[in-house]
Amino acid sequence: MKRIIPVLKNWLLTSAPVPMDLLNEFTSEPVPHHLKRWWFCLGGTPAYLFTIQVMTGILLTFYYVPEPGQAYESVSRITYDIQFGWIIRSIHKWSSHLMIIAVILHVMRTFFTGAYRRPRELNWMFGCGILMCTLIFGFTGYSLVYEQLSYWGATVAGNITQNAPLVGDFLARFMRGGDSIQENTLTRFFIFHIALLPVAITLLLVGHLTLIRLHGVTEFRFEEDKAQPVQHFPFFPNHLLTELIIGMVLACLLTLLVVVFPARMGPPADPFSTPAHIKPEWYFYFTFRWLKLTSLQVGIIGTGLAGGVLLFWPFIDRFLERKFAGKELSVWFGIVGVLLLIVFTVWEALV
Amino acid sequence: MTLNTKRRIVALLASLFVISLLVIAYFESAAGH
Repeated sequence: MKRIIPVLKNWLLTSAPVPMDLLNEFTSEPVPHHLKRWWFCLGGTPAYLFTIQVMTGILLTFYYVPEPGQAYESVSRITYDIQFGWIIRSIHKWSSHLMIIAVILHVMRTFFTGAYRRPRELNWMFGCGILMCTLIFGFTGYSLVYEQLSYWGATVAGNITQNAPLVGDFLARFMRGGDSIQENTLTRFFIFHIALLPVAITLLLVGHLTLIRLHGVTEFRFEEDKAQPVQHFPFFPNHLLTELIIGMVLACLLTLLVVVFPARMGPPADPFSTPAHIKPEWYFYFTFRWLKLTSLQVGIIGTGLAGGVLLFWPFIDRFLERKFAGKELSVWFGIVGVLLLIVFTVWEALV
Repeated sequence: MTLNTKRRIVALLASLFVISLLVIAYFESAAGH
C-alpha cells in the first residue's frame, strides 16, 4: 500500500498536471475570525442540500412519468412499491424544505450584517436569484406530484400570474403551455424542474462563489472583538471541518425526518372537483395571505414591488444611508420585513 | 474548539449517519419490496 500511493499520486499528477501551488493558494484562503460562529456558515448549507437534491432528483427521474394520466401513479409507485423509493422521495422532499429555510436564513444573515453593501451589490443580486430559483424549484416540484392540492395550487398560481400587469398573460401561457393547466403543463414544469432551474441555479452559484472568492469574505467584527487585532484562520482544514460538522448534522437530521415523517400521497388531482381549502406549500403562505388581504391587482403589484425592493436593496440602502446617515434604517426595515414574514406565515397556517 | 475536537465530532456524526442508513437498509430489505 505504501508503494502504491506514491505511484498513484505520480500518475495522477502526470495525467492531470494541476499546478499544486495554485491549488494550495486556492484552498487556503484566509477566513475572517467571525466565521467561527456557525450561523455565518449558512451559505454552504444550501449548496450542500442542493447536491443532495440533484442526486435524489436524478434517481426519482428514473421512475417519474411527466404525463397527467401517469404522474400521480408513478409517484405513488415510487412511494409505496419501489425498493428504497420512499427514502429517496422523502429525502428529496425534506431536503427541499431545509434548503428553502437555509436560503432564507442566509439572506437574513447577509441583510442584518450589511454584507450586501458596496462592492458586493451584484453578489446580493445573485443571491436573490438563487432564492427565487429555490422557491420556483419548490413550486414546480410540488406540482409534479399531481395531487389534488398541488394541482389546484398550480391552477391558482397560474390565475394569479395571468392577472399580473403587462407580462401576466404571456407568463401564464408560458408557464402552463396553454390557457389552463393541461397535459403540456406537467411537461413544462418537469423541464423547468430538472433542466432549466438546475442550470440557472448552478450558473448563479458559480457567479456567487466566484464573486465571494474575488472580493473575499466580508470582514465583520463584533463589539467584543474590536479591541483585538484582525484575525484570520485558514479555510483548509479549519473552516472545511465546520462545514463538514454542519453537513453531518443535516444528514442526521434528514435521516430522522425521513424515518419519522416519510413522504406520503394525498388524493389524486381531480380537475372537476375544487377542494374546499386550497393552500400552497408553507413558503408561499406569506404571499398567499398578502393576496387574500388585498385586491388581486394590488396584491400582485405589492408582491412584485417587494421582490424588486429585495433585489435592489443595496442601492436603496445606500440612498437611505446618504439621506439619514447613522440611523441604520436598514435594520428597522429588516425587522419589519421579518416580522411581517412570520406573522403572515403563521396567520395563513392557522386558518 | 480545537481541530482535533472538530475531527472527532465529524467522525462521530458520520458514524451515526452511516449506522442509521445501514439500519434503514436492513429493514427496507427485510420488508421485501
